Amino acid sequence: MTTYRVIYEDPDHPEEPAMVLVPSDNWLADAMAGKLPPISVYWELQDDEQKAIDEGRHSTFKHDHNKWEKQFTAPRIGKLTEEEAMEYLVMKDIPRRVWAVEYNRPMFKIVKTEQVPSDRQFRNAWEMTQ
Amino acid sequence: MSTIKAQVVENTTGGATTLTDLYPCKAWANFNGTGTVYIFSSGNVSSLTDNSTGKFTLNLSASTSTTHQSVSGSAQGASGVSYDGAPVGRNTSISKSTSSVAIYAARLIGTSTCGISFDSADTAVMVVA
Repeated sequence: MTTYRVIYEDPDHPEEPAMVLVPSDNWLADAMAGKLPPISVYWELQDDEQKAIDEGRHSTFKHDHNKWEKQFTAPRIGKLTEEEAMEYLVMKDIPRRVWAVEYNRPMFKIVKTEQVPSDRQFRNAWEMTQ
Repeated sequence: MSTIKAQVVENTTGGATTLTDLYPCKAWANFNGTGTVYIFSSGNVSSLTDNSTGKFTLNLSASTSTTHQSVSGSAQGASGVSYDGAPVGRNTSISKSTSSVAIYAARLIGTSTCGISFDSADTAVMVVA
């Protein structure tokens, strides 16, 4: 079981509590076995969906089948280390505005589980410490 | 009767198969939303985002082709409370997406807790699309 987590804040929603990304062990095993497609496959799908949102046609949006099928058919990128897999996961599952834009402070951190509070009593007030 | 033995089933171009008149689950997860959140087991889920109390997002390993997924789930109720349980539904405060499904669990009982999102030690969700 992985001991990594990713804590991040969404710059578009600064009032929201910090979020914690929990990797799936099954996915991580695939990543370390070299079963993932290039990250560009996912970005292409995200770009197409964002374009549909921007153009107000998201409710009827359907992915181009050839692009969608690349998730399964694109040549695999080879085995990743656990750390490389975490970086891949950040770029896949966290909004690009969080990690691809430079802010006056970091918006995400890859941490160990022990750095994430286990007491969730004040969960809705969590903030990312610097 | 014939027996089919195969480790991987693909379509003719190496992609995902479409099984005529079968509508299988496209993703599922069973996770602990209390303490240090972790995924017990899952299928087609790359990660789980802990958004806030009782609110989580399943990030899919492979996106669905449209945003019109059906989401269903249930969660164990509060510890020590008999006949407690919680439905799990789509969190409509987060926009639909083909690559993720935002969900929440809310308790069914208690005058001050009914309808309020809460963290469950055993939450199960499945997505059909």
